[in-house]
Amino acid sequence: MLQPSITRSRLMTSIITADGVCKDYVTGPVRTSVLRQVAMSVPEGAFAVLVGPSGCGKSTLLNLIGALDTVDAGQLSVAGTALHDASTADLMRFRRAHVSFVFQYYQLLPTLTAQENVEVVLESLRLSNAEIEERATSMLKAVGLADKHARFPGELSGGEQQRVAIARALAKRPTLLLADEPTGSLDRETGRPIVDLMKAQQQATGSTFFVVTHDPVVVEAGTHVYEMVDGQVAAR
Amino acid sequence: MNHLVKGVSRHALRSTGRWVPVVILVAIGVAVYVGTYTGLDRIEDTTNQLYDELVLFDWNFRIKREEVRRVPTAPELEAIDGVRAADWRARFPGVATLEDGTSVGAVVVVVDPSRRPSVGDVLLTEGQYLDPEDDHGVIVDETFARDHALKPGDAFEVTAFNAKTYATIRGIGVFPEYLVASVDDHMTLPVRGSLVAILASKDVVTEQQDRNPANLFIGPTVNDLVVTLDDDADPLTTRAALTRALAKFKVLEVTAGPDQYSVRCHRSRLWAFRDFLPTVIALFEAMAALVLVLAMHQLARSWRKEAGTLLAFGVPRSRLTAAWTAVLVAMVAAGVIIGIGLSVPVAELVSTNYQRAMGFPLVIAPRRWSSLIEACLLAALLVPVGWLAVYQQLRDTPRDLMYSAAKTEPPGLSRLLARLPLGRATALGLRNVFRRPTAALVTIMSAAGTLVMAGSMYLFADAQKVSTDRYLESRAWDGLVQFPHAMAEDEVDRLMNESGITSFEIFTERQASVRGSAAALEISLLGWPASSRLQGDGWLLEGSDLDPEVADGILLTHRDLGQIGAQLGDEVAVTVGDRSGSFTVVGVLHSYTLEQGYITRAAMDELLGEPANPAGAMVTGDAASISALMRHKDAGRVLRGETIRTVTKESNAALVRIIDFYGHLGALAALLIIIASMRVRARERAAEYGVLLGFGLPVSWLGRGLVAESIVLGVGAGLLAMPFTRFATLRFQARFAEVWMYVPMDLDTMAISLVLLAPIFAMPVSALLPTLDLRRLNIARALSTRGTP
Repeated sequence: MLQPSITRSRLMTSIITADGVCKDYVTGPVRTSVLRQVAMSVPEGAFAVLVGPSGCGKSTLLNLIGALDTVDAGQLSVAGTALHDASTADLMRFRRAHVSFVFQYYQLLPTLTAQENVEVVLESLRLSNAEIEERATSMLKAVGLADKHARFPGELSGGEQQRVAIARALAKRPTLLLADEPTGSLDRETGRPIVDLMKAQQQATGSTFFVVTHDPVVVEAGTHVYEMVDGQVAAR
Repeated sequence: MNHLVKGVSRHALRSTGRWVPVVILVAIGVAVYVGTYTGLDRIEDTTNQLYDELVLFDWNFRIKREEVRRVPTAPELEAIDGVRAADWRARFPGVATLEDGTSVGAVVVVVDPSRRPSVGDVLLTEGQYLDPEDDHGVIVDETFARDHALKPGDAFEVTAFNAKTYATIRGIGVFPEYLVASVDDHMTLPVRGSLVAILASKDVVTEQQDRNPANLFIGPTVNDLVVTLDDDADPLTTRAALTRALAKFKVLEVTAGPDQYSVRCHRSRLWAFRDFLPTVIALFEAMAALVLVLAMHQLARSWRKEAGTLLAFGVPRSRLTAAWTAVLVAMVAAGVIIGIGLSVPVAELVSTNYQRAMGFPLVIAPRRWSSLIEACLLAALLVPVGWLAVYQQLRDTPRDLMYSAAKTEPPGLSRLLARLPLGRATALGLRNVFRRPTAALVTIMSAAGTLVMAGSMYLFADAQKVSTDRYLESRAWDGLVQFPHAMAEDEVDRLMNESGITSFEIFTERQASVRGSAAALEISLLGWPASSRLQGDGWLLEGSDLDPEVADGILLTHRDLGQIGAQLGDEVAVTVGDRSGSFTVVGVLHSYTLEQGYITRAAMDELLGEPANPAGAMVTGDAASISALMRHKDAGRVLRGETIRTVTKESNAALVRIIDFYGHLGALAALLIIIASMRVRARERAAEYGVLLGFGLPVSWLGRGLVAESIVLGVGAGLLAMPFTRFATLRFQARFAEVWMYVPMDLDTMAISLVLLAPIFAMPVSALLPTLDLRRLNIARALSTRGTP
């Protein structure tokens, strides 16, 4: 069922607003329409979860919201920024100011320690070295890895690597945290604590979390659940 | 199998940083090898063609001048067993003076203008042959005409037999006896530009002869017999027969064709060039083999996931190896093809600059690509080398399908580097260099190899320039006179006074034998004025100059010392005629002229048991007085210092151009290798850069890391290249110019550092392209870990 037209009151509390968003991918002569007239609204401070079958376009929508890619048509506003109209430099500034990411495969830099992986993303925030170090240390402590700050990703388990990734994402104190299958490469036993951690951090920081997932544990933790079918989104 | 080859090819093509260095090294190696040999072959073929078509003599008999009616006729001489053709001519020394007052020594060869010579013809490049109706028409050699911008119709003055006449250029041509520009081997210092070869009808000289009151001859005279032999003739037997035929006449000199100075000069210069090529090629082959092994190892390793999948599905390992071998062959073949294309301009450059450097008149032979097959075979040797690397890698690939992008590499050197207090961008760049040491090694070694070539060529060129400067310093005189006969010192004084020369130093000369511990050698022994610094045809490598206080000191060239088995401080026995003396080697010379030694004039007189008459003199004076000296009837041969300086600089400039070109190739290749490697290294880390860009880090921040990375790679390549550059430079200098003995080591280290610093500083440029790539990076695609990229 499609979302009815968005009321003004909702716009004022929505951190993500999409209206008629389209995205195609062209590979050689083949043009694939991934998102078709997506319309959705995510309120600020929500732990929003997006579910859907594999290949339906969830990650594509996530990338658009995170300004990692650009819309082909429609309007997309995130944290007050009209992404559909923004230049490359604007998108960069937007990401710097508002967005953090957690990826399914962690995407940690293998040549940096856990501490350094968290610190490196703070370089863009014009903080002093002392502030950067302090933030990274406190975030690693918050995710329970204070004693492993000097380890390299290759020396950490999958769950620990994901914790580092979460610490990295939260260290920026983002307006919006985007997570793409954060428990996708973890087993249930490892994944649940991660979900609990994310939930706790979301509540503690007040950031909006937008999580793409197949994991029912994550769906259970969500405050707002959306479903994507055939390139369109509907709230459950 | 086709699918396999396609899959492997596409995978390899994506990793440009791995195969590009291999292709570049092979291409440059082939280009240098094929191009240089083709250029030199073209010169050699032109020479052989000219010697053949213009009939260079097999024997040349120089006799005391005789009337032509008294000497055996050409048919009589051709009747001698073994003689194919014979020709008489008159050859006289003279001086040519141009309209602008420039005087050049001349050799005037007088022939019968009504027919072409059967031995020693001329190839006309401009104008016409001699005409019996044209009394003063002459043909001059191509190099002389080009050097002085002369053309048919121009006139100049010829002085011979103490009288002047004028000559008009009818034609310009190439003489087989003067292919390596105009050199006169009777000069103490034969050098290009020392004379002009003039082919004249008898009238040019007859006029002067007639005016000479000392002329007692009736009719035309000859003094030079040139002969060619049948293919199956025995040269020595035929020479003996000819000598018998000329028994009634005074034979002054007999020269075999291959010993003719121009021929010897040309051959030795050509072979000197060929001589240093194997060292260059060996360097390239070794470097290319090493880089290929590392690159193939890396490429095959990066394909492990695919290999594991195929092996798990039962594809035989031998098929995978065969597919990689096909790619390997394609890689080497690509290098060969590109190299063959590049060899064309290299061949042109080599033959053009050799032509300028040696004063070779023209290049007419077609290109001969005989070295092509050798180059292909040398390149093909790389295939089994690369195959071994692939085979080893695929043999070790486990049947492991479980590939997880979450698997990260062990920290390796990163742990060590984490202790360095660096900025985060720099730290990231530095650690990225060492996260895969083999990949970094491929880049460093391939860049180092090309830097060795660049550095050694630039240093070699510098050494050539230093050598030329030293050569010119040792010739500070304005003129070198070789008297036509033994002259008394008061005659010399008069000659100089009449020419307006106020400053000169006399030397004496004798043919001598010098014996060391190993052998004896025939040399030209010069009695040199010890009061002045040695200014002959060499400079001091070690020891000291001649000292008037040391009566038995002798200076010999390092090559001659090597031949006779002697060194500095040794005693050698010197014999002139039937008189001998013992001398101590007080100085070792570097000299381009072989078989020459120096003792004091007093020592020469002592050795001979009587004062030796002056053989020549070094003179200092202005251009007008040198010209006056050249035109003086008693002066003999005069060589201008200015001629040597100009010609030497031009020859050196041409040679240095070739050497510098090889250096530029090497430097450019080093930069291309690093650029290609940096791009592929950055592309391989696209996901990581996507993460950092996703988190809002600016491209400029990432660029700093890339710059740090490229500097480390460049410095690594430079440091590795340094000792090999020194070694390679020494080899080139030793084999080609033998100048290494006097190039100070400390200067070389500095020179090497300076030479290598330039490309190292250029390495950060290689970070520019990958930084620009990051600006265009599709972050979403880079971060995608699903499916196959």
